Amino acid sequence: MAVSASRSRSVLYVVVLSSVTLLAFGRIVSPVRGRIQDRLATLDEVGSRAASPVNKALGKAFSYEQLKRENARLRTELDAARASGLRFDDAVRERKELLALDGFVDPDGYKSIRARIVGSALNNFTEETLRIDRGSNDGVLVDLPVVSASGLIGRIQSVSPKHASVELITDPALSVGVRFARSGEVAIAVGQHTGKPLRLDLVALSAKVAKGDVVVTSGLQNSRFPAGIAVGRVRSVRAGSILQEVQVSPAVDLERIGFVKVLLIRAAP
Amino acid sequence: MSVTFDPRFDRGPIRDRPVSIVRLVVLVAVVLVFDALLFVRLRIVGVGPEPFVALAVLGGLELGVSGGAALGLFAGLAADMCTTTPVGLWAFVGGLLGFAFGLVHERAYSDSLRRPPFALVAIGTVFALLLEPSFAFVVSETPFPSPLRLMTILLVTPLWAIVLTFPLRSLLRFVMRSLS
Repeated sequence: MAVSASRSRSVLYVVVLSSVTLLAFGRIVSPVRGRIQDRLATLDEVGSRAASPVNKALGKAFSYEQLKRENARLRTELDAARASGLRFDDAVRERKELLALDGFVDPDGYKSIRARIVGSALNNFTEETLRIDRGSNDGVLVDLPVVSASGLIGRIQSVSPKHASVELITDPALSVGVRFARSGEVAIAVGQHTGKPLRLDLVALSAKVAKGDVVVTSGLQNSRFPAGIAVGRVRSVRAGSILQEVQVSPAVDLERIGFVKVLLIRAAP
Repeated sequence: MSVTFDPRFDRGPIRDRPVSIVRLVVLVAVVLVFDALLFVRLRIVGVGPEPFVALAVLGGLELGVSGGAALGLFAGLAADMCTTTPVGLWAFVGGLLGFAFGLVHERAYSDSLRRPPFALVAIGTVFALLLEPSFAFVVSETPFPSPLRLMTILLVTPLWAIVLTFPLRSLLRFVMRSLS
């Protein structure tokens, strides 16, 4: 069956016109998309529950040795944490004093809600996102910071009534204003995709930066994130021709988080 | 509203049977449910299947230009519902795929539809996965995935497409024949 050129052209016009209309009026469809994503997340949870016995059986069969190694590593880390915990209380008090002096709010002082991670990437191109089981019904808004006990995880990217999508700090589209805890110099942290360190932009050659330095959110004007949230530790420093090239390992192991906290730094209008 | 359907090697005289929008919606909805229940959990080196892309390609190959473009649009819209990228991007890619493979069907491929078109679905998937991030970058400045990630996606997703070709084609034919 030969297809006439004019008919093909008409079909192509319809495709392009429909898509452009959708793109132009996409915001109108957003609430519908939110509700559909809620339903899909429910189905996803049903699927997870159905698959969990199989996953557990496979996990037991294949991950015993890995669990043993991880257990040993965690014991070592626990010992180190106990030692540093002694110094922690004093550091917390000091940080609160400093934040108060600078006019910043202690991130621990914000109202927050705990959320469970219910899914990871929505598709192959959204690797740097997570889905959580809290949404606009719980007061979650777009752009609110998402943290864990270890530090910054990302920001709320989109919200549906019962779920929300979190853009991780490893996403190249997300930049975070940061400050070196030791020297106070400010910079911009930019993601370089999952599994890679963050890149710090705008670090002057004169800035005092050393490997292991702690980097926290700067909380400067118009920042999405309040000051003082741990972002990571400096992994490498290299002097460039104009600026320093600094890489930072995220404070949070983004591939092993089960629960997060959404900081309610803004209320719903 | 209907488009022309021409799966000439199916059982029975169903050539030129009109394809209603209802059938397309039902088909896409079924795939959407399977996607949420099952496909999101399938991963090879962190890359999962893209059933809506495969569906758009199969739509073109099975239904021709008009039916393929319509199914591609609906399948793409369903994919749009699962992401955070601007609504309409996947619909555009799906519509273009359905249209292009509809042309392939009507001009070159219509006499060999007995075998599932594994290779064509794999090739269509690669095209779609190159087009979507490019459009996303143009429309919303969404950054490209890292080169390594993109390569992994381009290598693994066609394998998933091959796996999905037979069940998706069977489902497509079943829905097109069963609902009246």
